[in-house]
Amino acid sequence: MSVGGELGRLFPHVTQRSGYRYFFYQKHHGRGGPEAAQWATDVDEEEEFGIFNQADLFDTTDYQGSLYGIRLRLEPDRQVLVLGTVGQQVAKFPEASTGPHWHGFPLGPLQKNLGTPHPPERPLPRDALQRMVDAQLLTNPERKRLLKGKII
Amino acid sequence: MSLPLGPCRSFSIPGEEITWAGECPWYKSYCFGTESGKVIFLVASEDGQPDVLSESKVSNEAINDVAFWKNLIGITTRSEVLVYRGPLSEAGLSLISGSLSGAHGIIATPRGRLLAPMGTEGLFCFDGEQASESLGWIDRPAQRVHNYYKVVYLGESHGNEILACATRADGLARIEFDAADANRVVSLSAPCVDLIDVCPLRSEEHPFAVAGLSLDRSLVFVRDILALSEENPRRLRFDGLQGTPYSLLYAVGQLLLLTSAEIVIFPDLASLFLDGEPLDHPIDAYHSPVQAVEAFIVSERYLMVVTDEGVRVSEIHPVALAGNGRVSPEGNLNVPVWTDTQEIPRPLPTEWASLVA
Repeated sequence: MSVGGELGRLFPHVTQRSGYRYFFYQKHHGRGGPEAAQWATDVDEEEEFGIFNQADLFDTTDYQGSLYGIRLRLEPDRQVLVLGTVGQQVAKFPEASTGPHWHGFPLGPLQKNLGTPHPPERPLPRDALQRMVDAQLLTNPERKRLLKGKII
Repeated sequence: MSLPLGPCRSFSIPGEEITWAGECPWYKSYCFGTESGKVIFLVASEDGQPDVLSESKVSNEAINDVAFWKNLIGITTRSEVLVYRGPLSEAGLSLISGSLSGAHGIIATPRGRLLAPMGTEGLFCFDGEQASESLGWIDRPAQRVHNYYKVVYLGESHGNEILACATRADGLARIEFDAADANRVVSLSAPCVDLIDVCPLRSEEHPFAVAGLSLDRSLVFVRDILALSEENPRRLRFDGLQGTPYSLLYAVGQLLLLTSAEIVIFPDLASLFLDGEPLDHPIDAYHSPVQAVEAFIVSERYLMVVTDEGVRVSEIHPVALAGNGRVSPEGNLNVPVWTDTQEIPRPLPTEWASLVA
């Protein structure tokens, strides 16, 4: 399937809370250039959609409406797993509430200046991070570590 | 077996959330970074309440690291690297260099290099000796992207400054800086290793020995990082460790490990490794449950643990002198709970691959 000239696949189900549809762009799944963040190869489509569904369920959104998710494992012990190929632990789902579908990609822990014409790549915003703590997805020490650009 | 840690003192700053703790050579006192982007220099009063000496708001982001060299101070957040000239005046600190990309931390070497690992962006470098002419630069090896996460200074060899760097899935790297600021990177990686911290095992006999911490809770030991491509690191796991690994620290012979769930002290592990012992018998370990943000070593013998409540400071006793160090319940001293155990490390066969860049 192609959307806007980009190849990928639409997930067959919609999110539990808002009924959002989700598209897997190939550029974030091993076929993008060096600037495209890549999902870790051990995150399958079911799990990637699960991260998005959880972000929608807990409304972990920033002031612009983008959603953010983490790969939370509870058994055998609680751990926030890596979800991107360079150790990222947060996924960003850019605001698409009026579009046909959403998509997502791993977000790095640090701000990156990509040079003109690209805007800087910004890490997880504070408001979305606080919503993750309020939803008890993260502890307060973990919130502080993410604010420091550290692994959790 | 007795706890190699002295009584614990707590600090907090009303209205501020501490995110970094260390010492300031300008004032010879404790220094803190905050979530609100301030650097605060202070000393403790007799009754244990902190006296704020002075503060400087340098960012809108949480301070994640601070390093000093002479009158320079390097400060990092997830969104910027900042180099200021000090000391602090009424007008604040004077900004002289920086980067609008973030870094995981910053160190200062004895020759005045300020180095900040910026993940896949590279290594921010600023030569303090050339502070009036240089704005700093970002170093990236030409052959391959490295994910710079934590860098530590080890010492000098043949006139070069030698550093070790944890580069996540890219493994353990040795970085050599020559006098002209050119550098060479040699690294070792392995499929299961995601190296998130590295610390020097300061020893007269093995000045370039290091230990590393992988996200899978394994520990990596190297006796001589100058021989990185000749001697494979040793990798061990203690199955009794709990939580996600955060930091690996070394002071006065003690190896300390912070995770999301506890802090663990291994009093003999580093010396056993450096002495070439087989490490196939029970090793002493002290565990204390804590949900900490980060831990730091100050003045090479104080452990500072940053928690939600503030900072806990304890003196670490040298291995040979570790007597009865049980914490005292007097005054404002906190009494963390410690459990002593003996654990047999499990060696992990690892296929290392070398890269020179």
